[in-house]
Amino acid sequence: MPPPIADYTTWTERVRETLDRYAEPLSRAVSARLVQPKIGQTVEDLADKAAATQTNAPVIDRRIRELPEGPQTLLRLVGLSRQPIWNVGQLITLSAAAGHADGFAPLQSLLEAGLIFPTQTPGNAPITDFTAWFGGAGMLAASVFVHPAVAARSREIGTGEDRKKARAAPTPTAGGDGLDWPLRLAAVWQRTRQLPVKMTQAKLLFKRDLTRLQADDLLAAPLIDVPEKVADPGVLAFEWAAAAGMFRPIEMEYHADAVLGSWPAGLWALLTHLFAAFFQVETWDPLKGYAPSDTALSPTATAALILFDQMALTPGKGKTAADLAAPLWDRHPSFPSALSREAAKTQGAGWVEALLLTVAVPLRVVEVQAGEPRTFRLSDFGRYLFCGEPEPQPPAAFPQTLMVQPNAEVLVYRQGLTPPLIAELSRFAAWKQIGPACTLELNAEETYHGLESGLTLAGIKQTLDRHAMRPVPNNVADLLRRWADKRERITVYPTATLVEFTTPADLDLALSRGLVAIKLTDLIGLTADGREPEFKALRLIGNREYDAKPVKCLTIADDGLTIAVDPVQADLLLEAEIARLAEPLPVTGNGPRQFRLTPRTLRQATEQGQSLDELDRWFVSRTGNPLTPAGRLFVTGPTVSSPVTETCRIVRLSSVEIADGIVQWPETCGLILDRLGPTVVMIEEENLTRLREVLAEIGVQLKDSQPT
Amino acid sequence: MNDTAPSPRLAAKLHRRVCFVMTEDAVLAQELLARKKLAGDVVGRLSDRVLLIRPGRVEAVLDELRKMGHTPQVVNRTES
Repeated sequence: MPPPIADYTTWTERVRETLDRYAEPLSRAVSARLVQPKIGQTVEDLADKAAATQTNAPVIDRRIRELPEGPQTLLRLVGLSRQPIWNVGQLITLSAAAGHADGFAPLQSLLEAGLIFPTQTPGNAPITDFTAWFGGAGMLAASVFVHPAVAARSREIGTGEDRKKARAAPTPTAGGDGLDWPLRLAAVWQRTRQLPVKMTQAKLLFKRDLTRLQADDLLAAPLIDVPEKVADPGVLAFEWAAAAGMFRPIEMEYHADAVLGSWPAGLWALLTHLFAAFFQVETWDPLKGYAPSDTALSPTATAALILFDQMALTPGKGKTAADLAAPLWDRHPSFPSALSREAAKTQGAGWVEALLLTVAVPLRVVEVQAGEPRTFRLSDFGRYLFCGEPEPQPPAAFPQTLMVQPNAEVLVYRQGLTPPLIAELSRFAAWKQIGPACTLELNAEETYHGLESGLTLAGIKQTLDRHAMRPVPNNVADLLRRWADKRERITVYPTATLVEFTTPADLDLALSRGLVAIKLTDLIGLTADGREPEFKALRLIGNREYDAKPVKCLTIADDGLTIAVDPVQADLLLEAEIARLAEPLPVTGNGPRQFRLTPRTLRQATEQGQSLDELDRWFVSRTGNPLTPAGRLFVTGPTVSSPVTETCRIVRLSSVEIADGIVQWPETCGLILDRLGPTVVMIEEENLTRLREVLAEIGVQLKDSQPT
Repeated sequence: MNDTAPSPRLAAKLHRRVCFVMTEDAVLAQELLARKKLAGDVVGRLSDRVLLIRPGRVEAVLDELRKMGHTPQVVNRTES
């Protein structure tokens, strides 16, 4: 998002950062066009001064006047648009449409003069040459920005001489309230808050969202200022709102901001903001509606700017659409080719009329004069934008402009609507109808959105009371309270800091001292807003990140079943995890908390779907070793074949060598059932006599043990 | 002499960036756990009213709560 126009400091910083992306010779050359370099001056110092010069009006005025006519005209048009960021292809078109068909040359002059700057660099390589930069970025992607202070000077110089007449022209007054588009933008912002709008990789609207916007009856409500039908009004409202910074792009979706924070307060400031944003709308055409193209730039923005600029030459005199379309038809490079066959029959007059009637007149830039054919001229606001006239007087204020009805609908009369009131109402009430009188609906969902955006119930009621002609009905006040109370039932903390004390008494003490406000468990507390507590009253004994990898924090006793918890290393997930596998043991004195694996707890864990592998992984992560043999006995014991009891004889031999011999000698090995240890073998009862005989043959006497 | 001795500092451990849901009562927490999609994102229960949420799943949990008709209050959300 670009910074606000009025934030000169940030724009100056942006200029400074851009100069850093130039190769040193280019940075020096551009900076030297703005400030006189000194011997031995570093490139950084020179760039600092060049960036600071952007707000130095006398110097900038001189630099602008030194420019040839082509670049000067281009800079003036950019200034008049109030839009600081432009696509390079659009500027080349604009320059040609204004009578300077010199391709990239006028823009290159402005770049070299340090009056316009590239917004981005392809790759990380520094810019060594503007032509090469443009070639690398491409016609459709390359864009530039102008410092708003420079834009303001170019406007002033441009309207200084040849438009003196305009300032002296009679000032007709007419037109609507200018709220037709602000209301639609507020409504589309609300729609996007309910359901984000998805974009494709090519930054086009997904089919589902396109259909949703095209079929939206609220956005397609007739304009009150002119009886003209807008082509795809929902799409225009969305694209315009996006250009005006009312959404946040997150991955491939547009999400509405929690509040309409980017809206300026006054009507003229808001209309100027929207006027500037319109030049960033790329996919809308006055006749075709949604008309994206991945091969060519839309002529809408550049043609509109040329139209307004032409009207500014004779602001008091109305012109027909055909008069206004003629220069576009003759000079605008992409205007004739973008027209449909039908629109081309009138050489674009229908296109011009549609643009003026559906955008410029509702936005109060232009006013229409009845007649056959009807004529158009700049309004008082249009002359403020293009002829340097003072800003029109603000509309009369009617603070009491709405009525809250018992069915929870709010009727709003437009005479009293202001940009702040539209923005405020949009936070907690749903737009239902846009017309001479507008209707909003108070409902649970919108009340919830309002509260989530930071409003309070008292604040909502205050807004309604302040602007209502009659008190808010009691039943509606009750509804609002009930909806607000419902929100209190579930609280979600996305990223809280929990404070775990060593004893319940410490937690109670912390609560009494106000260190924490909420008791979650006997040991764990939380501040009211979930943020970190005051550290000066705490002695930190541990610090764990909830989303960090699990650490070893358990010790297993020799019995293989008793687990001791290291209180410093333990984390919250451990509490949840261990409760599924073991049962807590009573805490003794200051000893560590202990748990015990039992057949029941481990059986429960396996019944809940934990496999032996998963248990092993968990034990390795928490203790450093897999599940203990005793634990494995509990887990695998019930699943393997049953153990069998047998009556056998144990033969204990006098040495390992003797045992090895018996196991190896073919005469005896067949009699051995199993070797139980280094000197112990097991034989079946019926083989005892035979073993005794065979061993006797080699002189080894097998004795029976003495009964005890 | 100064009579007011400074309060002893309390030993405590911090658990940072914890994501959890706190309900008005235990029955509501039980109701949430009965929702299969939500239960999958709950890694544990800190108390009968506090459900720990799997890291990174808060938006999915919020969506599911809203689908259930709840209007959860989100405290101190930070933009990701």
